[in-house]
Amino acid sequence: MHGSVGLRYRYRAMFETGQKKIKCLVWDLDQTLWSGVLLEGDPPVLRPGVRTVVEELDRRGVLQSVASQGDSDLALAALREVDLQQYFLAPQINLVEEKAQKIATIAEILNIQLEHIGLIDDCPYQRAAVSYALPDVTVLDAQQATHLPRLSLFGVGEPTAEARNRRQLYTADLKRRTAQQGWNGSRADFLRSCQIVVTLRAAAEQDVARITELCERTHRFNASALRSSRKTVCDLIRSEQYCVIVAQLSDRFGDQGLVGGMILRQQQGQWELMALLVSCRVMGRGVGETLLCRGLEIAKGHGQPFFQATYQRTTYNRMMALLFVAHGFRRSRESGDTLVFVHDLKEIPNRPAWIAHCLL
Amino acid sequence: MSKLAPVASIEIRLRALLAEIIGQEGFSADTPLFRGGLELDSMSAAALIVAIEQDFDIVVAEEDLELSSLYSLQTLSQFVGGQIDEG
Repeated sequence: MHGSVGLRYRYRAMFETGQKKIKCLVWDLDQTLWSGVLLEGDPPVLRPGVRTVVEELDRRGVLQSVASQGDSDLALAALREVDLQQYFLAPQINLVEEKAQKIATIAEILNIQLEHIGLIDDCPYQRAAVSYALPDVTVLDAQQATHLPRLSLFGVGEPTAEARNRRQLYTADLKRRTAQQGWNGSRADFLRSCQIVVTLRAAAEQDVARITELCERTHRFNASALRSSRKTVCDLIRSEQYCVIVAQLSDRFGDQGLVGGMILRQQQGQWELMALLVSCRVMGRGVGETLLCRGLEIAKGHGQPFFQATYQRTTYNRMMALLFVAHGFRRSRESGDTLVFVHDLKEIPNRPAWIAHCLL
Repeated sequence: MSKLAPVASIEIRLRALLAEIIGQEGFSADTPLFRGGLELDSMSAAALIVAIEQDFDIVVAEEDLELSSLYSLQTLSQFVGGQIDEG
């Protein structure tokens, strides 16, 4: 077996194990994160080992949040005082809502299913109440805090670069969504205000892990015809016959990292599109459009009479077909759920107007 | 009062669906939906197609669409009119 095939299966194993994984751990504050009770005037003193646990889970790409029955201003000030505030996304702190309601809110904001949410809380009543209302949520006793990194629930093995940056990626995305909700003008004006920069470049060997991860995790924005192929991303990058282009995105809310890719194949002197995929996290920001335009430019630059794209129809990727049609492709032929779109290269569409810069 | 021609009444319904998706009103029927016009991307276009399917109770096979149908509100109205007639 080729080495990179082994790599592919290792990554697949990371995401497809039947074992339950926690993607977001929600912390209680009083007597869980710190030892006292803020509303009773106690200063926030972290419980032993807690800081190390928070930092380690963060490094592994486990998101963390807070659900606390307390005063929001007081608790947020205390989190700043102990210098942990930056680790907690979408904290829910108030005296009004039940803890289960807070957890449901966090799950909705972060777009994470309840079965991938954990709660750590010192109070047996709260743990039981959450289990009763949200049976899919994993509840953990605060006594277990220092053992968390050893539990398989929180993943094992060295995290990918994307996992290590996951909190920053979510933070940027939350800022963008808040800005979009508060925006009064048109969608196009909002996109222009985001100062989106898409950088396209040829894939290198260090991108293999992330591209493989995108292939495995991307469903809605994936026009790949290579899913059943045994060729690996690594082979493709090395091959003369293929050209793998990756897209990185940043905007005024932060750097989103490597968010998309495109695989072109050269056959009888003609480049054709074999796969196009974009992370769900950045859908609607023009990454797919930018990649497709680049593919058309490459084909036109080679003096090809047409550019062909293979599209694997699934339940989730309707918008990929629209992407091709909206760029002037026409359906040429199909076999089962595999469709071939063809572009005559007479008129190449412009890249999206709202993208500030596109470097290559 | 004369009854609206079918394409004109389709255009009015489509305009409302489109305005909601792009958060913008006051565009003309021949403004391009994509580049150089309303700047739809494939995700908002997909949202529009789903809204059309629900509102007009038709099924749109996106792979059978052509850019000429998706060019503007006017061409899209004609396409939807054709789909309703076929249905």
